Amino acid sequence: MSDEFDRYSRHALLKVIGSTGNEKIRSARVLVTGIGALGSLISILLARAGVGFLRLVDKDAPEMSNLHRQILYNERDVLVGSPKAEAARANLLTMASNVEIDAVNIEIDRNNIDLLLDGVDVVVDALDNSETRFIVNDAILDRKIPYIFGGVVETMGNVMTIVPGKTPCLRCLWPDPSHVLGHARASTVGVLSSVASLVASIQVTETFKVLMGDLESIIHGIMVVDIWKNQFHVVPIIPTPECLCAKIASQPSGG
Amino acid sequence: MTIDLILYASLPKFVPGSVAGIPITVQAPDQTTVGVVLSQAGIPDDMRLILLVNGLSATRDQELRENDRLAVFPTIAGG
Repeated sequence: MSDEFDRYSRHALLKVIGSTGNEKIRSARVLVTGIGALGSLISILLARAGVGFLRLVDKDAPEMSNLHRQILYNERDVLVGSPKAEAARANLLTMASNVEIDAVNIEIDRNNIDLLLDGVDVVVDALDNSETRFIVNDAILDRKIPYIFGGVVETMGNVMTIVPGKTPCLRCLWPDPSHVLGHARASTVGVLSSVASLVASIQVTETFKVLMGDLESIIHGIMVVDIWKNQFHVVPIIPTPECLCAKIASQPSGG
Repeated sequence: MTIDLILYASLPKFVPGSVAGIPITVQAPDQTTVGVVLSQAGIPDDMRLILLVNGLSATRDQELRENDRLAVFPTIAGG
């Protein structure tokens, strides 16, 4: 038994992944937008699962107030003050040295999003603001790249899997990002560490489903969670008729 | 007219006896807006919310119709 086979054998044994699925994971190229609380666990799980290429984007540096939930960093990273992208890459390589990691220390904007999406199969969202999410949302629709949205605050979280041409998108939730300006943030109302890990785990599971091509099993709508109240719901969403995602869905396949 | 109001996550705390994900039947005059239903339910006007009427994104000033299902949950956008 090769080391590589042994390393991923527990996924290989799974009916939903198997050896073929492991090969899909190995050849996958994934962009993680933001490496804070969600992005920490998302990156760790994807790297440990053997995703071949991870591009991680964040412009911040780890702070002591991050450490209770941003499990990719340690006290030394805070003391050194290196960017999250740099610390994330170094720490992930201690867990999975066979994964190619492109760590990018920038703020995502409309000028750089195309370059960040270049060669990527899936985008996993771990941003902390809706304005930047809309930049990513619009770009993935244009390029037809699946996008796993996730958000957390207090004890709540939500996850939505966006597959261009098949599902609604973020604009079907918020027609305009200005509608959600001033939303509650961890820095003002707090966030429970465990809900961040829960939501990140669901996002990674959705990523695996997309990589396996099992679109029947993805979340259809938006999952809304309150971990303190033990509440998990999936709220159905219909694409807004005038939305770009609806227009893409109405195009003939292959067009 | 009759409206089904469905609250998720932290929102049931504003409506005593309500349970997340379980519809509450609301009686309202014709042409009542989403905002009026939310105000009457005691949900603060300044809360950032996701509003869906029959699964479609809605605004507070949208008028409701008989048997509409209004689903509401907080904007959860931290990362």
